[in-house]
Parts: sequence; C-alpha cells; structure tokens
Amino acid sequence: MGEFDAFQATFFEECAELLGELEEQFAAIADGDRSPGRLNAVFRAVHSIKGGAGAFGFVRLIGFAHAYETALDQVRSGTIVLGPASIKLCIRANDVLADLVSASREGRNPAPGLGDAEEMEFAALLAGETRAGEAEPVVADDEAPIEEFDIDFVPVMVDLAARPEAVRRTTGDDLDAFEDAPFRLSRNRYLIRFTPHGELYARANDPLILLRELASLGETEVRAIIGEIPPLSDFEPFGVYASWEIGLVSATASPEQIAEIFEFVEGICDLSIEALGEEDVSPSAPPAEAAPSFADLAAALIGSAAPAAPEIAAPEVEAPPMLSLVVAEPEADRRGAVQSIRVDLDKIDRVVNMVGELVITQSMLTQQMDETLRSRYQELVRGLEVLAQTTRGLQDSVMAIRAQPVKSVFSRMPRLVRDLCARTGKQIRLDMVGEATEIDKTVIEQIADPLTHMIRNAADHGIESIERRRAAGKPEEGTIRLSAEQAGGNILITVEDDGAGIDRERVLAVARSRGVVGPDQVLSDEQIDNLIFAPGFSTAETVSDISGRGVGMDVVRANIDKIGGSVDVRSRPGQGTRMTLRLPLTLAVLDVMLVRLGGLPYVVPLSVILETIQCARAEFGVGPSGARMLRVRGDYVQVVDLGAVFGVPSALPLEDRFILLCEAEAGLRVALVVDDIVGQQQVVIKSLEQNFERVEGIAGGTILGDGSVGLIVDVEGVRGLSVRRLAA
Amino acid sequence: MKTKMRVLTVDDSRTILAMLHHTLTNAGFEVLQAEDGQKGLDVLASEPVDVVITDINMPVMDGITFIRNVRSSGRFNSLPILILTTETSQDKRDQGRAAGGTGWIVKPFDPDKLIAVIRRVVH
Repeated sequence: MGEFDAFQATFFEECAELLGELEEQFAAIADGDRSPGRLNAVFRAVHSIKGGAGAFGFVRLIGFAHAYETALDQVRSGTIVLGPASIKLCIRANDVLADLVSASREGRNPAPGLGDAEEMEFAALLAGETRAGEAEPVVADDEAPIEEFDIDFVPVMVDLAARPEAVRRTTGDDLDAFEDAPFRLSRNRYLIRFTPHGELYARANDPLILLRELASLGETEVRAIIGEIPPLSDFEPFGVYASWEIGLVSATASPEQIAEIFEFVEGICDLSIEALGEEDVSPSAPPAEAAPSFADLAAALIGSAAPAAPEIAAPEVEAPPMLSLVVAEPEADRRGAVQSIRVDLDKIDRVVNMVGELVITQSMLTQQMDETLRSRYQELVRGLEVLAQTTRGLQDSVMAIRAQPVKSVFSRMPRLVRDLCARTGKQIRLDMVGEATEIDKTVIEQIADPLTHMIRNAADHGIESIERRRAAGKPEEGTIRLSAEQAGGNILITVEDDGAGIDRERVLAVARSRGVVGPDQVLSDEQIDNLIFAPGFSTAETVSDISGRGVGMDVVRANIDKIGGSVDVRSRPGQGTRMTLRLPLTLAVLDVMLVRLGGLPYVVPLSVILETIQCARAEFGVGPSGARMLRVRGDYVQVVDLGAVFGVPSALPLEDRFILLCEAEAGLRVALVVDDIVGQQQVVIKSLEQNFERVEGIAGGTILGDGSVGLIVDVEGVRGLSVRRLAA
Repeated sequence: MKTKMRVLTVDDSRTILAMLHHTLTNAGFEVLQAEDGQKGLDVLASEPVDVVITDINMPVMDGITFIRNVRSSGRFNSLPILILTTETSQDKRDQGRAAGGTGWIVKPFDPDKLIAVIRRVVH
C-alpha cells in the first residue's frame, strides 16, 4: 500500500468513527440533551471529515460537509436553535455524509443530486435565521457566500471553484510559483526596514530567522540599528530595542516574495519594502556598512564601544540536547485523557499465541511435579505457583488488549433501521443499551453481519405495519431494543422487538412442507421458534429486498456457530420476539471439559455442557427407532456413544462410564457417553483446517498440559454424524 | 553532530497526524504527536520540542486555549507554534495569533510549503 493509500485508509477509518460519533451524539440530542459539549462534538466531527476530505480532494464530500458545518457552527453559537425538524434534517445529513464517504472510498461518483435537498434546507435555515433575528448577516468571512435566487430556498453556494486549486496543490506541483516569478536577467535591489514590536517576540517569532530567509532570496547586507539599546542599568529583559535595515540584491525575488517572508509578523512590526530599481542604477542604495556582530551588541549593552566586526555572523544555532524519545501515537479515544497507542493486530496476535504457549508450558511444568519432587524442592513449587498466577494474569491482560467496545458495530444500526423504516413505511425506534461492553475484536468483526440480519428480520418480520399495530391497540411506533451485556464468560447480545411474535403455525407448516420437520414430529413452542434458524428456512411470503435475499436466519446461526457462540430465539405471540446471541469473550482460549475415550484425551467446550451424569445413576430407555435414549426429568434425549462415533470403542462397561448432557442446537439436547471425566481447564485452540484438514465432528485441536494433542469435540457435528449412522 | 529537530503535532484527526508525520519525518524531523491540547501540554511538560503545529478545533482542550496555556506557562516564550487552519478561517487564525501563535499553515497543505513554513519559524 502506498503512503497515499495508507492515508486514505486512515481517513476512511476515521470517518467511520466520526460518523458513529455523529449518530451517538444526535441520539442524545434528539432525546433533549443540547449541552454545548454535544453540539461542539458534532461540529468537530463534521469539521474533521471536511478537513480530511480536503486533503484528498473529494469535492462533493467537501462541499456538503462545508454546508453542514456552516449550519452546525450557527447551532453551537446559539444563532440557530435545534428543533425536531432541524434535528431530523441533521440526521438525514449524517446519512448523506455517510453515503458520500462510501462513494469516495469506493472511488465512484455519488448519486446525482445526493444531499442537494439537505444543502438547500441548511441554506434556508441560515437565511431564515438571518431574517427572523434581523441580526447581521450570518455569513462571515469564512463561510460560503449565500446568493439570493428568486425561489423559496436559498442554496448555499459552496466555494467549489477554489477546490480544484486546493487539490492541485496537494500534488506538489509547484510550477505556478515559477510561472509567477518574473524572469529577469538583471538583479533588483531592495531596501527593507524592519522594526519588531514586543508582540513579535511574545509569539516566538525570531528576527534572525527572517533575516536568514531573506538571505535565501539573494545577497543581503544587514545593518542592525542598536542605538536604542540602553545602558545595562536601564535594560528591560523583555524590552524591544533593535531594528534592522537590509539591502537585498536578487535576480528572482519579487516584492511579494519578500512580503511573504514577513507574513507571520504583519501587524506586529514596522516594515517597509522599498524597491530601488536594478542593480547598476541604484546609487541611492544605503551604504553597505559592516553589520555589527553579537559582540557589538554585547558591547553596546555594557555601554562600551567595540570595533565593528567585518561581517555579520551567520546565525548558527545549536539544537537543544536530545533526550531519549518516547513517541506516543494517539488512539481514537476522544472520551477521557487515556494515554493509548495504536498497534498492529498481527503483533497482538503473536503475543496472544505466545501467551497461549506459555500457559501450556506452565501447566506442563506443574504436571511434572510429583509428590517426591514437591517435598524435595519446595522453593521450586512456590516458584511454579507464582508462575501460574502470573501467566494467568498475563493471559487476561493480553485478552483485554484485544477487547473492543461493541459500539463499533452497534453504531451502524441506527442508519439501518432508518433505511428500513423508509422502505417498509413502518415506524421503528431503536434503543441501544450496553454499547460500552467489550468483546474480542475478532468476535466483533464476525457479528456485524449476523446482527444486521437480525435487526433486518426484526424490522421486516417482527414489527407490524402501522395499520396492524393500530388495530392491535399498540403504539404506531414499534421498538427494537439492541443490548449487550457480559454474563460470566460470555457476552450476550439481544435483539428484542415489540412486534407480532413468531407465527408458529405458519413456521411449522412451512417446516413440514420443506421436510425440515417430520409429519408426526411434535415440537415444543421453543423448538418451533428456533426453526427459523434451520438451513434454507424462510417464511417471508414475498421476498422483500430487505431480509429476503435468498439467505435466511440459518446464515446467522452458521456465522455464530463458527465463532463458538450460540443463538436462541424466544417469542410471545402478539407481544414480540427476543433473539439472543451468546458469544465467547475471546476466540483464542476456550474453557473445556477434559474427557477420555479409549484412553485418549478429548475436550468438550464447557459452554455446551448442561450437566454431567454417572451412567450408573442414569435412566435409559429405548426410542421409537430402537435407539437408546436418556431420560432426563421426563424428557427423552438422544444418546451418542462418543467413542463409537470416533472409532475408539470403550473397554469399560456402560455403568462405569459418564454422560455429558449437551446442548447441540438451542433446544436440542444430546447425551454424550465418555469413558472418564478428567476435569475443567482452559485450552488454546489450534485450527485443524490450517494444520491438517477438516474432520467432521471435530472443531479443532489443542495441546494439553502433558504435551499430548486433545481434539475438541464439535457437539453439533457429532449429533449429525450419529443420526446418519443410525439411519444407515 | 547535529541532532534532528523535533516537532510536536497536535490534532484530533488521525489522518492529519499521519500526513504530518509522513511529511515531517521525510524532511528529517522527529515527530511527536498529541490528539488534543491537554495531551499537547503533557508532552511539552516532559519532552524538549523545537516547534509545535496545532489544530484549532479539538476536544478536551482546543488549540487557542492550548496556545494560551503554553505561552502563559512562561517556559516556552521562544517556542514557535504554528496553527493549522483552513484557507477560509481568517478569524481563527487571528485568534490563534492573539493567543500567541507564531504563524500558520493552511490546510490542505502541500508538503514542500509545510516544510518551508516551518523553516520560517525555526533555526
């Protein structure tokens, strides 16, 4: 990636954050919070987008952001007061801004006319304000001029003409400067008189630098006028006593170029630039007196005369001594004074991996300690205990580095809901809770699509049309509540709507007609609700362009399964639907139950285990197909002999073995029979696909404390395998 | 041996910081970064700096307040401070100068011009 591309990437990343910030701030503003902090924050966000866009010459984005910013500037200064209508306008403008950013990112032209309406409304807002307040024109020097047209709206004329020039300048094409410079064979003489004021020094301007800059234009003769310097007894430390006369001979310098050098000190010095004509005809040039050196100045200060040095000493200044450098790269956190750095995810992943290996090594060492060693080397034992603690601490800290607030995903949803409202004609309010909840970055990336799909589903199938809501005695505006919370080792993300709930009759009918459910199979309400996640299932009668894109909620389940999470739906007819995503805090480390099959270690993710049962105490039955079933509090659960499935048959009688009662799919349970349960532990997941190949029924591998490889059981896959074995 | 000049860049826009960083390091400067005025003050408190480039619109502490604080501390009377402004915001530029700003840089900046402007305020 070239530097320029990298800057653009940074810019678009930043735009995404700023647009999220705008969403968030306007949500609060719409709720009645008009504090100056918020108004300043929205102004800044738009301003930053405009500033960045300027660097890359995204003309339309610059133009629109400028019009928006101009209005916001009046809002924060209090000239314009935000009412419900203007807040809606701003929210629409945020969407336009987002679209313009996307267009710029994708390198395409924005849709013709995009944002024109909003721009006109901003102009009307500004113009209306001027008339109503009868104040001075709102248009200050720095704002786009408003041209009056003979129409109701007054469009903001954005200074687009100036932009191409700005764009050209960023290309580093500086030929203009040469073209502007008059071409001369002869050399011109100038006399420059320069008397700094105190202000000049107070702003850290330095006459020596200005003299040096002048010298870069041609030959200079500098005379310091030091007659004003008082005797030391009257000398004021911050007094201003010196002034200069400079004779400049230059073939190229124009008076404008000379003036430019003094640009920063304009108004805080007395300056005259006098052109004395060409070199050979300038008898009026001042006598090129030898300029006094610092020694002269010093001598003048102490009141004694000193011989003038032949030439002025070239200003040579030593840079201050260096300390070792600590560069703090700022992170995007605008909230508090948190010091932070930006690190490549790759680097963090390397640390995560190494910490994972460290955890394994540490547990290997601990396992090597038998009783004899323990009693003999107590110091070593203590050291190992500390090592274990530190390792765990290190592991937690590294995981915390990868964690990010879910806000980055949540902030995309308000826009989605607004679009859905526009397309469906429904009225939907989106409430978001727990945006600060932190979750592993990889998990966050994986949930954006499923979450989008769930929200779409809630808006499309959950919330009823306005008429139907009215008929049902509900408020016309439907509500979708999106929340995130941490619960134990999991993050729960819930999408809840107050719509009609799942139409179970229809779901079941469709499921039967598609063969997802057998004709005689009896399902609980919960099981029916969860059918919406079954592969290929979609009940939408008309394929809308919203959720019916040929993929159903089964994609949600597949995506969530992939990252070791689960999804569940609960619905109450007429009252609404709640979908819950249960996600692991991190993808790198898994809490597991270590079990044995035919002497070999296997691990089962703790998150799927409901309970463990001794076979000797279990109550078995036989199902209709002749398969063995486990009776659990009145329900029958399919029994799977894990050893048989994996081809490691058990040597033990059934009553000496154990059952792990697991949840395969939400609502579908399976009883796994294993030889022995060793205990719980954490393992670092190693991908089987990357290191070997995909194996059905196995989710991955891990290296155990004693260095042996343990395979991670994919409970859902195992259930599928055993069903097919039974059928065969 | 001549050591590198150190520039403190203060801006809440990562894009601008990244571009300044690139341009300035290519030109042989050493670059420090801060994302608002308060953090800029923190850096100045602990690191020697030859010149400061600061944005105006920033959260926590804006550029004007930042400049005022730098100047009023008395420690940095001769530290050049350049204000990042857009072409159109003459009033911001004036406010920045009144607060003690040495000069200004107009966004979007041309790399050569940026360096030229810095050379106009540091040795």
